[in-house]
Amino acid sequence: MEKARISGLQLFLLMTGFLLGSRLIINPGTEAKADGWLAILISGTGGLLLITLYSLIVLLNPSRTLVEILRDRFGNAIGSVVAVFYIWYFIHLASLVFRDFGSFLVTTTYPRTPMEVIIALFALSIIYAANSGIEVMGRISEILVPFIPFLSTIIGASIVTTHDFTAFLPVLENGIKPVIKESLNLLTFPFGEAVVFLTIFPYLNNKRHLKKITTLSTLLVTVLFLYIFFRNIIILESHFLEQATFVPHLTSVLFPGINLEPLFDVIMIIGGGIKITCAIYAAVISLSQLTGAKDYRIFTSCIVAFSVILSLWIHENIFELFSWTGNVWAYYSIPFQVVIPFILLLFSLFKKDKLQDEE
Amino acid sequence: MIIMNYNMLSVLLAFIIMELYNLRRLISNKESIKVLITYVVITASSLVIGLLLAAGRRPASPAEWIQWIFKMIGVVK
Repeated sequence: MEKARISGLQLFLLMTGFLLGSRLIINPGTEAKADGWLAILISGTGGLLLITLYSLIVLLNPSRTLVEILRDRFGNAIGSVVAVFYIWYFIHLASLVFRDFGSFLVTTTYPRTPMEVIIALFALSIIYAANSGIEVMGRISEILVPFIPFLSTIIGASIVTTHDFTAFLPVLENGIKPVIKESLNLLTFPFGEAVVFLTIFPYLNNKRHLKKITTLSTLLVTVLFLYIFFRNIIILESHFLEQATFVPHLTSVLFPGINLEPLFDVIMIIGGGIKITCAIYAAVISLSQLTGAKDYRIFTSCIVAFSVILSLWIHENIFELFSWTGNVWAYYSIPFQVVIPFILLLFSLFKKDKLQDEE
Repeated sequence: MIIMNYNMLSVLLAFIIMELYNLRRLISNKESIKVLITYVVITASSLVIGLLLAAGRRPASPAEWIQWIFKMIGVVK
């Protein structure tokens, strides 16, 4: 494990940036149409429970990363196999964000630049950030993440002249089913993806504040999602919301006179960059612990390269990506985000009780 | 006739140079054989898939495999 420590504020901002990530360009709650706010509230509550579960696992296994916990609780063989699946999951997650990022920039800002080049250039900065270590990542998030709510507020305030404050009514017009489906989607993307932090939480300098930090971060992200949803729906109304690919971007170009697009690009680069860096860092740390490498940095460039190639390979176009993430991602993620962490928590509690009995 | 995607090839070349440079460091650090094999396998997979993509011959992706598995189980329609 890297000999580094991050402060509570750094972890809070790192986690907030991670959770906001690529959800900033894909409108939260779109599938539930005008009831998206209900889906955000439900998934926010579920996300709080999930992230508390991850915090409890780390508190019960202090100073241990995911691979160490898995090997300790499941045994060396099974633990290592599960760790390999987690490494794959982290790389897959990074590649999906790479693709979101590349597709967004090619569609909106750089239509003549090849997506491969955009993703590869972004990947170089990710390699540098991940190689710099968790402390530098924490400091970067301290500087950059506050821009996300700030810029989102500016964009919202700029477009407040064109609005329909009744756009989210009537409530539950299409029944509860779309709301539940969208809640599950939002729960697994982004809240459940915080499972990545099982490799980052152990670096927190004061673990007593872990639960408070994660709770505050989840609440802030839920409030920001609600704000983004209401901003988009009162400007675009639900039928436009459903049709557009990059809804927040469409909202920004509606403002007459001023070009707000660059602000969206900045938000995407910050959120997406932090999310990919965290996922790559988790994959690299886990892989180095699994193989017993002396320095985790030797794997960074090859994992990032694989992730870039995977991002270009995995889906043919952005619509296929959205369809896959909407229909498959939630089910695919459940074992990684809910089932295995829950078993880990049970095993950790059982072992703690056993130790107390022995004492 | 194979039409190559030269943008993809350039990106691939840049990554390969970086990884070969890294491989030199890996050998001088006297890392274990397990680490070396893992590194070579990941790099080789990237290279092979990258070349296939550059040649316009996209193999079935992991997303399609995952979707197929879920369809077989009956989770996804």
